[in-house]
Amino acid sequence: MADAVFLSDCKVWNGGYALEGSINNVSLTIGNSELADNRMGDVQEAKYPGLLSPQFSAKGFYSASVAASGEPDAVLFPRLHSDVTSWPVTVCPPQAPGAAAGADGNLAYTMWGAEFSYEISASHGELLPYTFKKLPRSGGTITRDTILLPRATVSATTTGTGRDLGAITASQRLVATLHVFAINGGSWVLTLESDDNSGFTTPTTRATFTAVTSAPNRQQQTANGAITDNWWRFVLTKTGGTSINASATLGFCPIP
Amino acid sequence: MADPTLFQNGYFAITTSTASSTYVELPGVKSISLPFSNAELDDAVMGDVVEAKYPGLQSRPISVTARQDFTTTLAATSGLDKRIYTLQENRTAVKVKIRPADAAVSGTNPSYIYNRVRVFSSSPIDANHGELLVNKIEFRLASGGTVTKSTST
Repeated sequence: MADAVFLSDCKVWNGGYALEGSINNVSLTIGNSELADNRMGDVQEAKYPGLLSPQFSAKGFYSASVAASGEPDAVLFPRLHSDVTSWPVTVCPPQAPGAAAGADGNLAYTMWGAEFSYEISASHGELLPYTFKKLPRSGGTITRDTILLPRATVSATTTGTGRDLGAITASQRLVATLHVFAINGGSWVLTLESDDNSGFTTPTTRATFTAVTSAPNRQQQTANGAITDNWWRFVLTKTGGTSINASATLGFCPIP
Repeated sequence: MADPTLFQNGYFAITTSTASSTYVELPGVKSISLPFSNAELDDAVMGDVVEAKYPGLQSRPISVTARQDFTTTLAATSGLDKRIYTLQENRTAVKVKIRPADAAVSGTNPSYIYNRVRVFSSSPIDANHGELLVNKIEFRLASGGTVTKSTST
């Protein structure tokens, strides 16, 4: 049996901001509404799982200065105050299965949504805490992803590790998510490739992200199946500039 | 009077579909709750001096908590997160079998068999820093679902 998962670290990438430095509690729950489905003949309160209702929330220690450093107030207050667009939050637990949270090839959950609450509340003498909650908006998604491009600073065109994630059927689609934390000049284009072999001898481009020239930033690309290729990788292509700090994940989900 | 049942090695197993009869134990289970209740339908009539009730539809939810496990390989002893998320995402109905002890079924160790349930809630990542992750999973009966108690299977 696998070891227990000790939550000593957990990466939380919200849009183009890494918030884990302030966080001491994370909660990602996934529920379905319980639609009554009992009919004549049933003697139980039969239910059918309705709309998925994923919810992400986190708690941590308040600070307010530099958004680019992941200071929570600088990131979250504007989201509640004046920005209701959908951002991805990618949550990377440790031992998933690699020991380090956010490691190449590890599992991560990504939910696209907006911030719906942000609270600063404490009594005298406490370390000032904050909490925030995200919920999906219309078109929002929740996917069980694999990290194919771990967060890192790269200064040249970079090809991620190819991984066998399986083919996707005609009833599924792929959801690829890009987080850009920092850019030092240039234009950077992320593409998603698939192939039927680990060597990627004849790769096919399945998604091309819009060129990124500024940070923080985030993007999502989707493509419907069926795709029979089972090997997947990202390629981050540089045009000019010096470096970029980014991460990318890939997951599959049913087509609504 | 029989000795009490020390709940130290309960049996909780699921199939991959309702068509399958191959039960695989869920790994890392910490707690199991299977409350049996009925809707309390108002049945008071003239002459009653109490709030008379009639037992209506049966409610048979299942709550399980299990040690979280992100292992990518599905096996009898691993892959809890992948197994539960896949069932929930696809709304797959499965069978569940629960016994007080992970031992042969018997009159003192009966099986509670749910023939058609789905995952309605899970918590893949939900903890404070420094804690162990626990997945809290909720199953609900589907239409056509039944619960039987068996001392032989």
